[in-house]
Amino acid sequence: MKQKQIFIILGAIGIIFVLFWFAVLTLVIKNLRGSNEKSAESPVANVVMCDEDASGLCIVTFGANNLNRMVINFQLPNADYAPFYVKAMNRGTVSIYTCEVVESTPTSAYCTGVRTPLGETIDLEVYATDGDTLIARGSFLISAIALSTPISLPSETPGGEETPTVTPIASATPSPNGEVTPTPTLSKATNTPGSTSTPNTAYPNP
Amino acid sequence: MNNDLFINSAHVLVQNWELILAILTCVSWGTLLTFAALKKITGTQFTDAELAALALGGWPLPALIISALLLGLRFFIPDNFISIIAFALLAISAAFAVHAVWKLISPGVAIPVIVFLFFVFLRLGFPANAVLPPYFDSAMHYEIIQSLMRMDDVFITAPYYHRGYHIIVAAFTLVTHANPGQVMLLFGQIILAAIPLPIYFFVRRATNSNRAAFFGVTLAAFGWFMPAHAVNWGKYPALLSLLLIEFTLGAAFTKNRWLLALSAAASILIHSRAIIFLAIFGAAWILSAVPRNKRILFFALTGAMLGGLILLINQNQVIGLIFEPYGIWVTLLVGLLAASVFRSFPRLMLFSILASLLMLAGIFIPVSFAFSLLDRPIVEMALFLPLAFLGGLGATRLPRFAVTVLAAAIIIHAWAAYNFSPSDCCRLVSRDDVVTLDWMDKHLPANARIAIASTDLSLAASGASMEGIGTDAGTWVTSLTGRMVFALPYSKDFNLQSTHDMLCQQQVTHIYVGGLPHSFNSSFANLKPAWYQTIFFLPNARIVQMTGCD
Repeated sequence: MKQKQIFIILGAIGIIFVLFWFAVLTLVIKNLRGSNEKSAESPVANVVMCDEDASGLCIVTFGANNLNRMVINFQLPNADYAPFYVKAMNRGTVSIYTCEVVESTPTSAYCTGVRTPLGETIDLEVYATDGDTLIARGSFLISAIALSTPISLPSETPGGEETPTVTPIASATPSPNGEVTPTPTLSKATNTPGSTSTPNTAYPNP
Repeated sequence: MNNDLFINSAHVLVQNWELILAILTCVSWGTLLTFAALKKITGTQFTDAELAALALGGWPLPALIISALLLGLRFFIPDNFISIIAFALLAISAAFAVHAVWKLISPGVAIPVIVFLFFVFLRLGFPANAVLPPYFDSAMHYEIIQSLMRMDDVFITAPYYHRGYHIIVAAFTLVTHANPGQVMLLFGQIILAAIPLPIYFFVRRATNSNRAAFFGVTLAAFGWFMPAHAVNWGKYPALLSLLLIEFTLGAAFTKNRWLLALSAAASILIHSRAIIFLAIFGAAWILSAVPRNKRILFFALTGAMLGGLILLINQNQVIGLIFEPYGIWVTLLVGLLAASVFRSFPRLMLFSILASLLMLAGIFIPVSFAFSLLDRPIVEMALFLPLAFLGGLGATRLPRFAVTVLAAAIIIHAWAAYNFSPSDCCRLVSRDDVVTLDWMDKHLPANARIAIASTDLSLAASGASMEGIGTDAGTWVTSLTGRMVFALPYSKDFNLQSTHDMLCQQQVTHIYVGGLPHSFNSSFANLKPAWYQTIFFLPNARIVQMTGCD
């Protein structure tokens, strides 16, 4: 009798489990089909700035390197994303940006190319290296890449509290027309020196 | 808070299905071998569900043996053949195990496995929002795994005292050619999914009740923040060791000395503090048999523990931290349930209370100035074990519907209160950081010496601290680029002449500036262009080059 009960429970759990996985798989397949259909309708995807729920190719940030060339930080939809390069158009000039995938995090890649003037729109086209096909495009307003932007000293308040300073950095928010406009971001200024009297706690709780 | 959990889990599953399947194959193989060994040793002494639940805690044992063997073979055999040997060993041993238990197996074996797979799915959502494994511990584990894979400096890298976890991950990464960071993230979640299962064995053994056993599993999985929060600390070896400690305690029931010794040795190799835990559980078991009037002792100990804790929490901040992840309502429920069945299980109750007390006491027993017998994080991680066991015992007398309702309430509570995604406390690396680190790896000279932000962190109850712990992605510099680092307090003022002189004297060539509150203040490079020059910039990470040194 007891064994029978166990079998019934086992069967019930099994059915729930199978249904659950079925639901998940259906959802996944549905999404995949949806995205396939979408891509069949418009084969060229839209590149936007990444948000929390980003699932496709998107741009994390813009930056610069020691040769004063622009660095574009991309988030890839998956680790097996096809190798690509970028064509950037600004003032009627087309420049090629070479891209490389981050070894430790294959869903990150960065492209390096000519630095465009601040405050101007840049039209990006992403091409698959294999076959040279256009896979994505987007327009962005590059407003602030603070490689050498002077900022003011953080002022220390009498109470020793941290004082936030406004620092222009290359963050951006998408505008309705698909372009990206700059957003000044608050960056925390840490207190200057003095060794910390009480150490912070290791392994913080949630 | 967890609205996207199932979507995240499905996303991670779809993105990494090959790797997840490979890890699950490895886990299934280890579980199968352990199950077959247990079945052979114990015959019909235990049910198949009990053995399967216990075997889900024992899979690291064969995994460690085969991993050590494969890494050892690399001294004699080219890497290309290692994968072939691994697959051959896995297939042959699995065939033997299946052959040994085929006729003896019953459908009951599937119950713990199904529950385990469900837990795996739930836990898989975590890596969806993680770029690299969390906290500074992970960087160290990554580095050790890499050194084991390179085999160039196996015996001389960091004087690290337990390498079992790293041996398993290194061998797995070698065979599968997967990304080590991704393996660490996914493997950690699968360890986490397995941890609650052996509780089924203990409670079922003690109570002969399936619902009490599953209630214990529910408590271990969803009752408290721990052990799940430990993945945010990158405490992968400790979690794996906890799993094997559970198995070792279960192996003691089989009375097979070889299995017990092997399992204990493996758990200690994975985390050396496992020896303390095993000693504590052994001592608690022996001590719990001594007193005649267990009831009085139980209540006296419980009273003493509560009183002592109230006093200590006020006086010692470490004790307070230990109990933070253990929410009052679920813990209170466990206490009440346990008290209600004391007469039925006096020794087991006493054993659990003693084990908890001894764990807490271990924090205050110094081994050296900096170390105590047990540290706060590991006790915090392990305290769920006696609590879940007590809760499971306490559910014995409850009617079936009450157990179901309570289990559902615990799951709903976990869903509402606990975050199944990475905690903000311990995320040190952003996507800007990984790009910056990759750029450093490709463009900075091999002998570059990088200053990174750090701080001293308090750990032990004595107040001793860990010094120079990385506070942002700079902590990954050595692991990902192989460059030497020089840790400085994150509050260091780089505008001072003395700081610049010191950096020059220490032959620091570059400074890593992350984007976290405890990163270096990035303004100095613009203020002192004669001393510092930003050579790579992304909004949340930059590299500053030292100039002006004679």
